[in-house]
Amino acid sequence: MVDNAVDPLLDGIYQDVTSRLKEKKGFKAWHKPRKHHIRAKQWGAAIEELIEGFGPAHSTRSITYLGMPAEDFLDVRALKDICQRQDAKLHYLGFDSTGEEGQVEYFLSRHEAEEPDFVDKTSVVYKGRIEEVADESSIAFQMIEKHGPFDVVNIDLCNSIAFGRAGYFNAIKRLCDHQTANSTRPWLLFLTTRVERAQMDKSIKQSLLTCVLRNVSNHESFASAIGDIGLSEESLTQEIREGKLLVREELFDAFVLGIGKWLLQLMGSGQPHVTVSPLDGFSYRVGGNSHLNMISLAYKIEPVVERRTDTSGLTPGVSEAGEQRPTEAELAAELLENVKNVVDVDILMAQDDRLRSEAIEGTKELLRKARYPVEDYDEWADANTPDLGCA
Amino acid sequence: MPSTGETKLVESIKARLGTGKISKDTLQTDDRILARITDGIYRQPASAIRELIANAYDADATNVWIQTGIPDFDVLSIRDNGNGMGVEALARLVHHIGGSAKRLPEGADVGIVSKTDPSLSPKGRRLIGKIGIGLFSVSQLTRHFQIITKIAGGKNRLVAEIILHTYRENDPASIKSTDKRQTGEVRIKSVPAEDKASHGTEIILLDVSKQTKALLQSHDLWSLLDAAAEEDSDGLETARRKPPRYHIGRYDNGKIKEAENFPWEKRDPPEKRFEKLYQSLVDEIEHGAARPRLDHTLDSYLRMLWTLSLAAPLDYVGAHPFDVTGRDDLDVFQFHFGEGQGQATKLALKKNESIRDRLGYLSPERGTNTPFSVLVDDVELRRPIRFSDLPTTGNALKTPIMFVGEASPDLTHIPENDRGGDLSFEAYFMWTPKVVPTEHNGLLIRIADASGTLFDETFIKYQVSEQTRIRQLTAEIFIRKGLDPALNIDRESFNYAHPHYQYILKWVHRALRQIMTTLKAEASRALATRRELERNEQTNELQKLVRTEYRRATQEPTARPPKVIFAEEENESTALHRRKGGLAFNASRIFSGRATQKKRRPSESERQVEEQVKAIAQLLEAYGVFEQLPLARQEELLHAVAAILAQEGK
Repeated sequence: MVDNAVDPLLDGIYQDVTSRLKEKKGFKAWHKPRKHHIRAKQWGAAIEELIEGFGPAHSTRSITYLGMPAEDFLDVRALKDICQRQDAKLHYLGFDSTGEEGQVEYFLSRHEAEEPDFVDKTSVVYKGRIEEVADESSIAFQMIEKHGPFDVVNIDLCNSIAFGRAGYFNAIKRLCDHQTANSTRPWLLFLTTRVERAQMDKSIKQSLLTCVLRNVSNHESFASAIGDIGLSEESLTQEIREGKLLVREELFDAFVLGIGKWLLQLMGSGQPHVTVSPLDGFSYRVGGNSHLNMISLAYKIEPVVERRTDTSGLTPGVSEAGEQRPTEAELAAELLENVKNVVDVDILMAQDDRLRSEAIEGTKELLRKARYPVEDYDEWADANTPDLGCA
Repeated sequence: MPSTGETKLVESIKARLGTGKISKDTLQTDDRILARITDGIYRQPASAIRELIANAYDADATNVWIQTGIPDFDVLSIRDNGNGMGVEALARLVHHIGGSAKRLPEGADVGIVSKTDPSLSPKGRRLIGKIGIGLFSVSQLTRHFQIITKIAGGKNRLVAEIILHTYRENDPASIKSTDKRQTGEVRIKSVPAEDKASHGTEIILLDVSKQTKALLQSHDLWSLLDAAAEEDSDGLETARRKPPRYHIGRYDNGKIKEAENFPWEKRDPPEKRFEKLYQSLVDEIEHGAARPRLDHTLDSYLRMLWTLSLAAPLDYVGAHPFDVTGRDDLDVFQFHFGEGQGQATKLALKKNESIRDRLGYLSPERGTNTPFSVLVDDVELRRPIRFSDLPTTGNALKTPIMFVGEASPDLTHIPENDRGGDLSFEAYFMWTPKVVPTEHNGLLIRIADASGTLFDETFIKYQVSEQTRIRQLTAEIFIRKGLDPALNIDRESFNYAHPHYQYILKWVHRALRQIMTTLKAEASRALATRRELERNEQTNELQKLVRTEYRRATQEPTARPPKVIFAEEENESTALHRRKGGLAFNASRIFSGRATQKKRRPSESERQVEEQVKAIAQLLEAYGVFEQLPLARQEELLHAVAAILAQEGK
């Protein structure tokens, strides 16, 4: 009988090598016009505002970015354009967990994205998953320590943040800890996630909804306000205890609210103090579904500088009452408003021709830079308009 | 099939069989042999990266950015903003593995050399790459790589993927052809480029071999430490074997097993990092290293940075040696070669006058003076040699001495075919009591300001009796013209028989004799001054004895043994003491019982033992025994000596 076992001494002596140079063809789901709208109106707008806030000193006009650039580097390319406009320099750390097949294309994109001089050449992409950051003894976390703190953290997931074990939550917690301990200026957190019952780990869902429920129990005004999005203390309790089904839209809103509440309580704890302000959110549909199942969230996190108080009476001219920090109820109300105002970007694209054509042109521009033949793009975008059901 | 020339030669010999008549032909080289030679020519990743940096330099790049993929080293990339390659240049590259158009007039046709002088780059730099083996030097690191390249103004960017085959000696297919052999496969595509003005080349090494990763991760070193720890029953072995002070850390499967320890801080900018790396070697003296060594202080990765910085045509961490002025704390002598041995004379430089001002030296001559910066990960390389703030010793001569000279020999009496062109060079030899790091002791020859060799500690096999002084020399020769043909294909060694190399050998050996004579004279001058001082000193028998023995051992008639102190702990003053050339040891590790009874006054016999141990330590230093040993071992040795002496006294 022939023994198929490989001689262990051969380990590492020979590595099989296969060609990875490919021709570029076909558009991907994330090439739809709506993603560009989000990129421009949510990410781009917030980042430009952030850079403008840094002031004119050239040394401070640099952006450190933590992202997950895929093979096309679309986020880095778009960010580079912003930096070019703002005369700012970009330094990025990317996490890439895709396989090796796209490698040649990937490095070509990296090469292009780093041209010309707006990108710091010590930027790197780490081959690993963002969840690895959760472990402080990981190379992934060491990368965060080396390249952070970041002005922009963009966690752009295809699946759900609540999928499987709590890996993403652990990673975000660790990142936030590192950010607050090291960052002295405002920063942005973007989070794109699937919101679908099938992709929610039961205990994560329970924890998120409990974050909302706790607020409901503590503040009567909040309890009545959540009625606006079809939620109640009872329905939340039932969903948590018995998995009794909130309807899809209710679960969507409750989940989004839960993420916001979780982040508020997380960032509200510990030192130094920071404030969390939710920015405009966008929702859309993926996977051929007619119901909303993706959300793109954005938060601005700012360190709080508290004035010293002097009760001695020695400094009457400069001692005024310290600024009142917003209460938990006020923050929760703001969050709820934010959830109510989430823009259904699919409907927006269907109804507003001007915005849609802007998004199409923007996408084409970016895809052209990523060397896609864009002649057929309009046609592809039309054919791939999401089914809005009866909306 | 034999070539036409070969067939003709065979016919010619056959036609003259048995006649005693001569058949004449010119010798031909064979591309296949060249390819075979360049196949896996280097073992160390630094050598291959050095060649890629040379390529970038030759392509007129002002910046090179290297990403090693630290700490995994899965993918390594080298990017430059040089001229880039057009279609023809890229096609030529892949079609002429090992034998490129560099240094040939036809290189100008594909835009890789100057139109007027094939030994210069298009923008006038003196080429440092040998024959275009640079790219294929990577074959030892990986069989799979990617090239992205673009020329200024081009509308397109070229992307090539190259997969190299492993050479098969016994494969008839690969040895059948007389002039070409298939060394791999290449796929190329051209893609539109948005940024028309941009230019340069990036080489991306994919599928980096396990062996290369292991080398960069200092795998051998950590395994050795593991083995030592395992076999260690009494803890001694572990204490002795320590990881180098600075390293990138140790990793396993994405996890940190040992945290990194760099000589710089996170906030340090890239150029500051290199300065700190350099300083870390100098500071080893304060940590008790008699002679700091790169391999004891740095891991493979950091040593690679060091090696690369020595090789590339870069600026020094401080000033260029020829920019040393009268303000600097060193004496400068100039060689004189004439009849007989010649003699070096002192250049009394004025405060603001440099060696260059006085002697009109021109090095570094790089063809053009365009800037060149190499960034490896987040460290910007500089040449790791400094000519100020150097460590001293207790020798009579404390101030470093620099010797400089130049030569442009008239080689016309050698027939032109054998002369190898003109030769011209400038050089310095720096004498300093302690060469830091030890690996810099020797001679390094630069052509076009670049070098692939390390310091030759034999000074081209100089036979010398002054072992101490020769170990206190660092020298660089800057070749202005010639020698290049004597540089072997790997750029790591020279053709010994070449007339240029032979001339340099003789020049160096004569220079060394002048150095030794001058040092002796300087030392006796210092001795006279010192004798005067010594007459006033109360010197006991033991000190006299040690001094005599010390001088015999070091062959330094004026040397004084280093001062020895036994301190209770490592602190500022032990560091300062060592910096001044003294020896400092931890008293409790040498004298039993000291640790527990600090306050007790030592008895007369203990004091005697202490003085004797000091004397022995001074002699061990003189004989270079301590140089071989880390501080902990030095102390172990002295502990044993102290124990024996104490036994004797009982």
